[in-house]
Amino acid sequence: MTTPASTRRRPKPTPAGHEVKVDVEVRMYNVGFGDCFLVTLDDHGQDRPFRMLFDCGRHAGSRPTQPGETPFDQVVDELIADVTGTDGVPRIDVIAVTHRHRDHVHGFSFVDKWKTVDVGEVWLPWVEDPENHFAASLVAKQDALATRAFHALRALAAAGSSAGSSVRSSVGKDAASKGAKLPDPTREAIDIAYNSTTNRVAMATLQGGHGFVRPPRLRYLPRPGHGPDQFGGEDPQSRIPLGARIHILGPSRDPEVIATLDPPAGAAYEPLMPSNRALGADASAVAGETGTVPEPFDRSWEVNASEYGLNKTEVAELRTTLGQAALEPLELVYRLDNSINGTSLVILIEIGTTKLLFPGDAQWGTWNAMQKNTDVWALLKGTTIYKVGHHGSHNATPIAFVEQCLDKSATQAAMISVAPTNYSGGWQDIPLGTLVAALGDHSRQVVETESAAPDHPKGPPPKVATTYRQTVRATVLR
Amino acid sequence: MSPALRSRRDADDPHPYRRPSRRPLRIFALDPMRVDRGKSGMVTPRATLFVPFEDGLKPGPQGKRLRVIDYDGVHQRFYAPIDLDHPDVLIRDGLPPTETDPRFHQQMVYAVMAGLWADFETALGRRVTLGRKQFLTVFPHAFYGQNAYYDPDTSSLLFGYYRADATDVGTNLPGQMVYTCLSHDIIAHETTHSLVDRLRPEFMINSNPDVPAFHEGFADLVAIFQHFKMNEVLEPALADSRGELSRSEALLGLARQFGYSTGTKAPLRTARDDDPDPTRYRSSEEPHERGAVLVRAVFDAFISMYNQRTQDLVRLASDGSGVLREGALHPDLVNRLAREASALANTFFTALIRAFDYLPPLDVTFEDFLRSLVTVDFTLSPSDESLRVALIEGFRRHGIYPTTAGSLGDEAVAWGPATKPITGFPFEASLLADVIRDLDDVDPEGFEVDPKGFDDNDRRGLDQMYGEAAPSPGPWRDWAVHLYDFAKAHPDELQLDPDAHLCVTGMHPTIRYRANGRPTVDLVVRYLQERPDLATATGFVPRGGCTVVAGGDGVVRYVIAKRLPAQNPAVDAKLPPAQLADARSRLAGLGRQLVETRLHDPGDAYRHLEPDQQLRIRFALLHSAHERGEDQ
Repeated sequence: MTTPASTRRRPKPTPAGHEVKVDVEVRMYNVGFGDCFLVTLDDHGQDRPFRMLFDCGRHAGSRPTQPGETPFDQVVDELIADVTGTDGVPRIDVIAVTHRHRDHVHGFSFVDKWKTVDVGEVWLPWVEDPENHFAASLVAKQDALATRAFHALRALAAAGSSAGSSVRSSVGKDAASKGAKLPDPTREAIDIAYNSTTNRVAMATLQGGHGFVRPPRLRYLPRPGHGPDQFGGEDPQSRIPLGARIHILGPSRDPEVIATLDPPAGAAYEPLMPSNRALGADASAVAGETGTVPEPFDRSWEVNASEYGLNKTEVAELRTTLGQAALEPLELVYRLDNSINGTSLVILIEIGTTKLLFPGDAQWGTWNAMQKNTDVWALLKGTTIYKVGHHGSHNATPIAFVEQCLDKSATQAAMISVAPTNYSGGWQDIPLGTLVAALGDHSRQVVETESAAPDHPKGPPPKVATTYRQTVRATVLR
Repeated sequence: MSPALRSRRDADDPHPYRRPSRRPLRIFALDPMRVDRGKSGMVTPRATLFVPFEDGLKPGPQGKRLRVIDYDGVHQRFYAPIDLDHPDVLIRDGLPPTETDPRFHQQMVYAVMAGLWADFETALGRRVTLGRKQFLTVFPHAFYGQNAYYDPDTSSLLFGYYRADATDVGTNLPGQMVYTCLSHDIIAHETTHSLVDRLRPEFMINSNPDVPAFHEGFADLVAIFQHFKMNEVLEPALADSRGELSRSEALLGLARQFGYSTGTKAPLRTARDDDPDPTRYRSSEEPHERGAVLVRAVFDAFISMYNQRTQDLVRLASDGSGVLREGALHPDLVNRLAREASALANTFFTALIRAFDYLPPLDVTFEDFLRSLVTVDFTLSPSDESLRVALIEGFRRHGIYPTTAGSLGDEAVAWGPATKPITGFPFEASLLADVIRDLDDVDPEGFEVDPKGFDDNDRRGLDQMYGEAAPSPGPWRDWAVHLYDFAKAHPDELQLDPDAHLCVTGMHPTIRYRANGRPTVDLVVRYLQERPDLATATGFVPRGGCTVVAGGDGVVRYVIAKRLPAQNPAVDAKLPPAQLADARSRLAGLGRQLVETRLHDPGDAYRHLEPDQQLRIRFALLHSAHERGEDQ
């Protein structure tokens, strides 16, 4: 680590084989629909415990968790207060940002709050490395698409009902066939696209070099050629307690897995896109505009519907048909959302037999790669605390992992950071009831920041004010 | 129709002209992209299709079953429609191919679709109506994008337009506008999706990895076999490839312009396969990639049959050596080779389409398709085994084995006759005339229904079972009731669950040739069952059913079943162990498919689907995923 030598104090060497107790605390901040986890490892041998922050963000569509509850910026304040030492300086040794989604980074856009914080290192998935050409182009593609989708959808929504007819969710479609009420998917699509945009301000805090008291060391992980990567307390530069080890299990650098991260080709969704990408126009220059899609024919070919012998009702029906058949904007933003989730860092902190797993929002591509690697899979077995992937959604926690790697004797808690959103429809499956039940069967407790379903199998949610704390005492051999 | 033309057709004309049965229409044979013919220069092949003449065609064209409406959803405007009956259009076989006049686009879409539809009907030997959906709406310029798809919910076909890649586009103009509705192959592919949906609506349930792959592979097969109908494509291609079919990109490539214009430096897909890999079938999960295995297996058989059937011609043309001299082939030889290829392609095409008569009502696999193809070949040419042997071999070389057949012999691979004789199949004598007429006329009352409102086990509640599509009271409805009763009386023989919901989803006659070469009429009935009681446990509604083929003597010839575990365990306890194991593994397979599908569905976390909506195929997404090159 880059911590100046003067501030670093290593514990005195102890005889080999000596057992050391480490207090482990995982604190889950109630940010709403988002993630913010603070891990504290205290071996009582350093001047202050080792602190590692995993993400800090909230989704634009997240509802306040409870009436009168803490606004998001106050959560950031509380977090900073929690890491402030007796000298009045807030210190975080490592900030791990699992991926660039708003619900994981938005907290870093409260720029002023972070200027006072002393941060040792910032860890990011390797795809964020600006010096890696491939990564840069991937992120640029994801970002361009998200930005264009965001502006296009907003323009569509603003254009009102005629254009809005094509902004319709699959949920709505299925529900409509059953005569149920249509949800408002436009807002959802816009928010998901927004969630995927660069989040430039937040990323600048993290990567820009001026976001904190001093420029933290930036690491893009896993490092090339390492496969699964790791950092340990044996490194004299590191403040990670001796005997503890931090494994970086994802995102993969395997070309096959990476292929799944490539965002959908914009052109396939051009009905939405107010841009002339194919013509080489700058996508951002057309933000917010509509009607710049190239015309297939000269305007002179346009005729009145009566040329087809169609009356007004028939034209309206036709528009409905086309609107219903048109590819749904939501599908685009879903894909985009997935391609960024797939870049998530997956981090396992190993302190003796205690294992804390933070998979970000990793989805099947990453999990699949981990399951295929027998060493990694063995490492995941007996996970002590599991930060449930992607707020408890279906495809971010393989059932094989729950069944093979979690069990009541070892697993203290499965922590789900989730809250109701402004959308009706499918978000009701986050967290997924069957997954929560399976986690319940394989861990001593399932903790949610907020229960999404009133008839939740685990009973009422814990009534902690803004955070939930889970502590474990681990033993390491030195 | 223009007033001038109509006046000549007045009913009081003492010498009326006979109505034409065909209408000639010009098209781009493949698409507007030029083909490099070496010394013959760059050529854009054009062709003239002879499609069924439809009376009273309105501008669009809008006919009884197909209506082309050129409404652009992005720019929200209509483009001028073509009037195919206008004398200026009629006199020159439709507008000459051009990219700049939208009316030619409409004409080409209509021509390819109507022609293919007619070919389906010829192959099936009966009309294909749209039933409840009534007509298919076609939008030639629906949206801006590299996609085109069939939407079953609205019974519509949507074609996109887009600007070509700005850099590497083959012989296209970089950045030029590309219209998917000017690609013969894309039109044929999407039309096939809609026809398959008509023939087997339950194939929209993604119940195993072969189902979406079958949709894609089958649609590609149909599109590629259509190339062989057009001499304008076939003869030059054979001349250029010196008679070697397998070398021709124009013949075996699919959607050339689409492929090149999106910068892939190749047609979108190809049936060509120089090096069959039997492991690819097992390892390919993406529908187009897996479907390509099916395409290659069939073309493996096709090319080997073509070689067999033309080797004598090649020997004749090479003084018996079988090795042709260098240089251009003699035009007579090219002509003869083209006739062989064309006739053989027609045989294959007919078998591919007819195979539907012997496919299960849902949950199709490539193996089912092979077994149906072989069965069809027995019914079409009982004494010549060459085609079925080539097919079995072609599939085997691509890793598709008829594992349930127990042997690679053609008799074994064909569906086995019902194990014990099942008699008493109900016929309505009063409907015999209708049945015969149905073979070549508008379906009067016969029924093809979508199983909506499945909730009634009471056969008298047909209205509830079929909704609006219920056969109206009368002999057809009686027949439907008798077919229902027949299944209820023979659940074991038909491999149905006596307790689960049952629905007769369709019935149609089909012609077959006996071993003595004489034709006979069979009846094909599809039964569907579902187990909504399992939805809570499984997250989806498991469906099963069977296709029953019965002869005019009232004896059931085939039962092609997809069995589910029975609602009542006592029923399962009496089953032959193999059947029970099969039913259980089907249910488990459905569960696996659901997990697999949901894992790969980007919207899965956010979307909530009711159990009966799970596992629906959505072509719009399949196709756009494909363009991402996920399967390249």
